[in-house]
Amino acid sequence: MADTSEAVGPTARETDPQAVAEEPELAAHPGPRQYVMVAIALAVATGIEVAWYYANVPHPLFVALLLVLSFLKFSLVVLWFMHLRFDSRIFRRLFATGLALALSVYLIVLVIFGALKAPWLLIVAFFLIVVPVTAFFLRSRRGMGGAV
Amino acid sequence: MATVASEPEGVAYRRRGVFARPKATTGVWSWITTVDHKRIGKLYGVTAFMFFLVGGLEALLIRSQLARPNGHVVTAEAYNELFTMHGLTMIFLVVMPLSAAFFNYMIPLMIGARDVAFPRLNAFSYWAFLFGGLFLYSSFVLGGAPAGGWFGYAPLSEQPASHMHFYALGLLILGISSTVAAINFAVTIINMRAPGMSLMRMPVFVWMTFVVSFLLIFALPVLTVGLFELFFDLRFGTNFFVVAKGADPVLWEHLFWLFGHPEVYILILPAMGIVSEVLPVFSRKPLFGYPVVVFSGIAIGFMGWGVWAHHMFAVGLGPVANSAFALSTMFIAVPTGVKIFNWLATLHGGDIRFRTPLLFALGFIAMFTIGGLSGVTHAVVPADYQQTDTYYIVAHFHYVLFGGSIFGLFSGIYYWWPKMTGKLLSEAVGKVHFWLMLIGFNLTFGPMHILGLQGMPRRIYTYPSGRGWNFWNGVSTIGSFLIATSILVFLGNVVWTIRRGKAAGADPWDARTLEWSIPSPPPPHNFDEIPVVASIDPHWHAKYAEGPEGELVPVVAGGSNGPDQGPGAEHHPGTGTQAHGEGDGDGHGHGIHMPSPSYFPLIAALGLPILAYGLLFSTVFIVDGVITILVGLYGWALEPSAEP
Amino acid sequence: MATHIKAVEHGAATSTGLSNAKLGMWAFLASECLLFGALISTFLLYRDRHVTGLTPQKVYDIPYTSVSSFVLLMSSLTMVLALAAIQRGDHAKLRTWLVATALLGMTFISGQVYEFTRFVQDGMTIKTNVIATSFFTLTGFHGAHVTVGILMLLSLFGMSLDGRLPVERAEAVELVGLYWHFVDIVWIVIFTVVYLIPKSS
Repeated sequence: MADTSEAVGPTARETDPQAVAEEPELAAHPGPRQYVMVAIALAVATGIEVAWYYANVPHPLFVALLLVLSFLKFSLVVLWFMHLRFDSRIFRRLFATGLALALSVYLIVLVIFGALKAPWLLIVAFFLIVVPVTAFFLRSRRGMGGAV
Repeated sequence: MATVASEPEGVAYRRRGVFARPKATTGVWSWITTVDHKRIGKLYGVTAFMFFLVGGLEALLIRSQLARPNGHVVTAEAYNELFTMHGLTMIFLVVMPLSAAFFNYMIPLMIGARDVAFPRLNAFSYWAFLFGGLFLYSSFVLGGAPAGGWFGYAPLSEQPASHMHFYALGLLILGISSTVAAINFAVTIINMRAPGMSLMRMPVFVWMTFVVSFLLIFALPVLTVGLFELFFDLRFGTNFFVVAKGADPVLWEHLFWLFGHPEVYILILPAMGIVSEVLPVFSRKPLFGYPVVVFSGIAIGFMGWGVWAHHMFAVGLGPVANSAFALSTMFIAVPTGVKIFNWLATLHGGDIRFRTPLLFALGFIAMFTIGGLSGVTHAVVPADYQQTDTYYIVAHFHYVLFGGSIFGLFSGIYYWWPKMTGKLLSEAVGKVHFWLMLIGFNLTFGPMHILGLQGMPRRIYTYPSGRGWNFWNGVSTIGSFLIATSILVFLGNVVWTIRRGKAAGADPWDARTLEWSIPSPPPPHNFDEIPVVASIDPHWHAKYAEGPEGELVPVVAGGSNGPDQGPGAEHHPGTGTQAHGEGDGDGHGHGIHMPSPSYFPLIAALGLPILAYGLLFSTVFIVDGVITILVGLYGWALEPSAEP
Repeated sequence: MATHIKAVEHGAATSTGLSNAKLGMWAFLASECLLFGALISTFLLYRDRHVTGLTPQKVYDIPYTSVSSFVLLMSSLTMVLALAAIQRGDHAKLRTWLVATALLGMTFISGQVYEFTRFVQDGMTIKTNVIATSFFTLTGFHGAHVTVGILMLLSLFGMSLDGRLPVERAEAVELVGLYWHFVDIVWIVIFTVVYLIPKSS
């Protein structure tokens, strides 16, 4: 059986060497062991969510905890299973743009409708979490003028 | 659907197809199975122009009905169908596909590629467009055309009298066409540029196409959801917009305008791109402030997502929402204004040749500015309360969409006609077309500003006498017939040119970008050798260098592999170019492998209207449609993109 | 002089070195964020409306749906193991994991079908009120996406059996995988936002 820890498909190391110099984790390539660990983390997170559903957690805290956990699960699948952590930044930017756009415009619509309880909380959370995460994915250490 | 295109070398490919792979290069079958971006561009162009004539006829009927008070040309019901279909046609079946025609034909040429990233997907987009348009129009004989306005506001759109079923399904089909086309062009521009063509060396038209592609990719899904929700209400009795069951019709407006506002930038940016190409060529000066023009285009695309509710000022969103959107709308005028100043600065001091492409580009600038100014007045919310739903708004959007997009597209038609056909359209007739159209256009839509402020509402099939609207309505109708005449003049020009047009040669305008460096019309493989690009306007720099006093000095073409004598491309006009990293390109006698024709894109696209008819009339067609789509997709996925 | 060009699909000749198809798939997935965002927002808008008739919150069976969610999450694991298998040339394992993924997906869909049938029998249909309408539409769209994914997985399986899926074409598995994982993360959001959070406390 071939050595599974080595990159078999092209990762950013082959396609985006400059990016690799700036972000070393882009060079790696997880193997089945790491994937199983991610899956276990996902299962545990889901278990915690369901346990809290039945616990007597105050509702606003419950909502906050669930949002954080599902954000974590989402990130685990996107970054590891979808390989976005190890691939070229271009894919990250593409996906992050769609995601950020969707979150922003729909948040605005729901706020206009008054459909969200504690909208201010969500707006603040949005700026504190989503914007920095998006910026992290979209960041470029070179200006736009470089040859893409 | 994952489609890995051509077979890697060394893998045995066993044929399983029932029919042989098409190979024709001439005749009707070759057009039906084409995957060549230039042919697909022509198909888009001709089809879109046909729809332009139909949409124009609808407009003439509308204007005939409104020429005088208490008109009897059409019934009220027919009138509602006419203005709905006129809007749908002009937006989805004319301006967008005409832009697509130019994206298709010119983008690969401008970036030095041989075709787009996904040639069969490209063909599929065209066929889905054609079938979607035909499906929409079949409504006239299948229960009546949609009559609820192109914007389909609920709950009116859910009344039986509006019969919006074909609207929902037709736009869904067209949406699929545009979405996959947008993905195709985005990937093409990211991934298929010639060596040396960095993003900031691309022609502005390519940049605008790039921005438009992302606008489509992100905006169409929102419309898709709205249309599905509308269709489910109409066909399956759901409750998305049924107030009695707890719904909120304003949801439709948000979903529609979240799409609809980026859509208007989708409609105008390509024309702006064309103007940005034409002005430099006919002023013999580079575009003023290229990076700024590019960034303004990106800014417009980005900010366009923050203004949608300015179409909803009068629906009762509340003062906070209204103010926020009013502000964002005022801000978005800035990058647009920046572009206009850059265009004017391009012209200033240039060696200007007033040929027809330039005339239309100048017309664009003037008319679009007028439309933009009325747009700014809408951003003032209290003023908009008076303007909304009146002819003042009709005036605004026709100035930007006709005076803007259509004039810009005609500029492109006259500019690129010689490249696509090898012949020049007549200048004299072109100028007649331009002036007739400009005068007719202003006579038609100028007075609508006045009518709107005098209180004439939109979407009324007639009006009583004695309101003071009679005169300007009459003038407007006369103007519309002048526009029609100008189009006939254009068609005459086309016919004349096909018969007796002057041969154009590769570069009749002494232009700047790569498409002018190859023959007119281009060979199927576009470039004999893929060029290596070293600057913006590579074709210009291949022709001219700067002399000691900054004057233009033609570069000597000389021997095919002689040293480069000027700044710019290492690409010499005519025969030789340096081969550059194309692997084993040393004349083993291999031909250039272009993607092979295929009929599967057409089959897959054909399944869409069949499925749609099934959803309206008969379960058998649903099954049939799904099977057709699957056959098309599987055949497509299992054949290689290029046969050896 | 005509020259021979390498097919772009070999990854060597693109401006970025990235695969066209992979770029296309990510662009498509980005657009799907807007699609599901609209459906989820519709549900969130209508979730608290005062309506007559049964609403989803009243008929949920959370333990049942939790198991379904777990099944779909595990299918993402089997999917990525299938990709790892073809990338190292193990075609037997590829087929095993592809089938496993498809089976898990089919389990999820069957679970949904059963769940919805129960809801309808209890008296909540897509026409009952706006909350039910938006619930069934959102989950129905998701289920349709899963179904298309299952079709693609089985197609890959068939192609592999037929010898049409060599290591050089591993990208096809990668692309189907990306689609599959996306459908999974949409469910992560739906499970949280539609099932768990609206718990009537």
